[in-house]
Amino acid sequence: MSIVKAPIMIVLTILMCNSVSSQLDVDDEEIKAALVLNLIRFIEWPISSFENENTALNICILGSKTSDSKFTKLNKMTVKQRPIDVIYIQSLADANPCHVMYFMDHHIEVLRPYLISTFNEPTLTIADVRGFVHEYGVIEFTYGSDNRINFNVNLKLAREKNLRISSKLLEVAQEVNI
Amino acid sequence: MSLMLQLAKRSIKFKIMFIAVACTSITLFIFLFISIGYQFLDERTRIEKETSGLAAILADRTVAAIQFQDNELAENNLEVLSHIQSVVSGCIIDLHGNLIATYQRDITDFTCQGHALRGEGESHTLISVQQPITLDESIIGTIFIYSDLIVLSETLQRQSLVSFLLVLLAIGFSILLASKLQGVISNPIKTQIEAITSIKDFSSFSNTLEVTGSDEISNLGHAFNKMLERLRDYGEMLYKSEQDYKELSQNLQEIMDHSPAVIYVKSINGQYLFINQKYLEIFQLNKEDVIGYTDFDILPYETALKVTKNDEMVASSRVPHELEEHIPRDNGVNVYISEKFPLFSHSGEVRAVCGISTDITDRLAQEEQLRRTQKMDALGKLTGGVAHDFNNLLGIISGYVSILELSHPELSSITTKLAATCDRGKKLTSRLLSFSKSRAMEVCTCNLNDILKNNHEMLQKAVTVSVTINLELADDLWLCDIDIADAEDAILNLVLNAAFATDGCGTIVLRTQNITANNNKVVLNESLAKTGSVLLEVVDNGCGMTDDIKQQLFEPFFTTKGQQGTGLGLSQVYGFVKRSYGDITVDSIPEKGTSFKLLFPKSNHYSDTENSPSAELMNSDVNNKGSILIVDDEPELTEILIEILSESGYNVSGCGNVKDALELLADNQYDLVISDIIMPGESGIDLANFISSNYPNTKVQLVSGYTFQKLEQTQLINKSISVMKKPYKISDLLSQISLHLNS
Repeated sequence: MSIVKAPIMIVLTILMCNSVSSQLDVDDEEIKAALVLNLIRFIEWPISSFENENTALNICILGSKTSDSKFTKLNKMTVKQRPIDVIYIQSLADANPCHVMYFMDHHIEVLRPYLISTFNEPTLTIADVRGFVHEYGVIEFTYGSDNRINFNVNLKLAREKNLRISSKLLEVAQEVNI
Repeated sequence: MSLMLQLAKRSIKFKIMFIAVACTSITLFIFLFISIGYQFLDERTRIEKETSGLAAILADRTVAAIQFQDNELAENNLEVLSHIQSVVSGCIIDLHGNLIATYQRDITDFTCQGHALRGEGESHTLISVQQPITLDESIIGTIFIYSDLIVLSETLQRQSLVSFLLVLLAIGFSILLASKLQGVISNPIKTQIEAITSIKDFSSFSNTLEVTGSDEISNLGHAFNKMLERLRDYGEMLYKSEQDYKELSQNLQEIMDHSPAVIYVKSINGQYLFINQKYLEIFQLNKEDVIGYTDFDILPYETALKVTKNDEMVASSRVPHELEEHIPRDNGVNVYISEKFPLFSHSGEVRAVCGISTDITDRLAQEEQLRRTQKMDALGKLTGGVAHDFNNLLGIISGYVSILELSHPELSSITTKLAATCDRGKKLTSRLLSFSKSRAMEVCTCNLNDILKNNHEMLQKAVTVSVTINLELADDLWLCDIDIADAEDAILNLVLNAAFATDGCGTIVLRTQNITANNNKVVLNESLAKTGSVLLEVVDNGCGMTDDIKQQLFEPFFTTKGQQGTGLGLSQVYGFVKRSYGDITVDSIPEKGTSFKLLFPKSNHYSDTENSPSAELMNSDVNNKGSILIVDDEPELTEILIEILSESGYNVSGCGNVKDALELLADNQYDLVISDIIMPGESGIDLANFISSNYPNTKVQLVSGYTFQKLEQTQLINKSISVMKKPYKISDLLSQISLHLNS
């Protein structure tokens, strides 16, 4: 079951160094990095997924790290007083321990085994793959008609993973599967 | 205050309703105002809390919208404000002041611009709530919500209107209820008022109120019944007091009406307020002719003026006064001794003057008469004493003259003159003794008319021919007990005085009349009038006399005739009348005439003027033998008697008092004892009685220079013992001795 919200337009801005600015010329990766950062602000992981209070929140990105990767800007930033650690992995075997797993431009068929095998682990899986939330993915970036980036949430799966998603985030989501 | 005065004039029903409605109205309005005020404050607080809470919720819900710049979501969130009636506007701004979303109620002109609300009427009716939007304890934006209290005021106005209508309804209901229930209070009061107004007289005090219940009005009823009971008791006491007062007033009125004194009460203005019956009797007036009038309406002006001044003096001095007032009446001026005293009002002011006036005219006359009588008695005693001593001297002289006549006949020319001089002296002493009532009287029962008739011719000769003496003698005149000789002397003296008063030319009337209590208009002596008396009136039309002369008229040696009078005529008349137990008055008006009124008691005996003493013994042969005891306190008289009687052949002894006489009687036998009556120690009466008791064969002859009264006669055991008047002639004494010794 999914709740489809009325179409909303989200103009994402990249918040860097606590400064907010509207960057109309920013690239897609940068918007997604900012989007990921905002998403994790409304999601709580089980305590057991961290060693202690100072343990960093790992954001794993499947793919090769480019020199101008925008996600690296998330390093040194904090979410709920935890430092963010952006980790690029080359294979899904290296995925552990990742609190956030972001897939860029990957086919669902490739990802499905991993998603299924980790469907009950507290890893927030995010991808901009169509139908991701229907294939054991938690958050799926989508593009609107005006090229605006929205996202869908598989709330049921998130609950399976013991991830608590704020209702505030759910209000912003375009579609929520429950 | 005015409202209280107006309310005090209203009925108790109105008052109860007014109080009930006023209290209800005021209470409800106060409650209404407090309720509205409390409701306003409560509602304002509620709106503030509601708005604050809503702002907090919206702030929380708007975090994601701001974070993801979802303005539409923010707008949708603010749409919630449309359900809150008081909220007129709301807005969300981000950390940089950018407006994210706004809300504006359609009916208002308020809009969120920047940090504040802009619009009309923003001043006092708005409640502003500002709520920061935080994420991870960082402020990412702010939400503003504005509520307009006009909505609240409108609500309160509607509620107030409804409450006001409800209050009016409650007041109307309270009026209706009060009008029905006021009877619970007013009806018992009305009943009590009707009961109180039904009490019109003393008999109504027996009525009582029917009292039920135990509230204050019932207690008032009980108290009223107790008051009625006390009033009934007081009424009975008052009734009894009133009866006692009426009885007392009636008794007082009767006492005052029967008072011989005149009692009256006059107001300060002099108007009569009260008079007693005596007043009406004296002035021959009706009560309505006096009450309300003044003395000036009743008495002569001069008299009224004096009486009124007396009243004013009593009123001004505020103390009682005893005053002598002279009130003219038909038969002369009456003298009143008036005890006048002020009557005070409750406030202490003099409201009236009361007077108690006693007629002392008669008393004054009687006092004057008594004074005159006492004076005359004193003069009589003095005169009698002098005459008695003078009599004894004359007796001695006369005795020696008799001896000279017998022993020296050649000296008869001298002894005759001496004897005549002695006779004149005897007449003089006889007149003096007659005045002093000391002369012995020969009282007989006689008719004054006979005496006047017998002496009429002699009297007419005694006065000049130009003086007419008329007799006006009453028929069937009563007899009286008088000395005829004294009566003849008295009539002669009065006629001679009347003739002198007429200056030898006038008329003298001798009038007799029977006097009773019914026709006693001429004398003051009422006791004589009551027992019946005989009046002899000697009236002349001469020069009359003044009051000063009247005062001294009967005094011895007082005369208005100068050298022509002795001053003993009227004193003889006075002594004669008094010895006869009668009375004498004089009425005289200068230049008009004088009237002497002689009043004698009516006699209860028959006339004995025909039984005159027999003179046979005077001419009988004298047997000059016998023993005689002379008892007299005058030694020279005793001595001359012993000498004369011894020479006449009698055996005579003498002593100066009764004690010596008794000794002589014890040692000697006497045929006759001649004794004086008045002596030092025991009297001749005592001696006579002793002799009568112890020596019945011894005769007694009493002699006295004083009047021998009937009372003294009754003291004698032997009533036949006679008394000779001093001075006596020797021949008379010898004749009397001869009668005793030869009887």
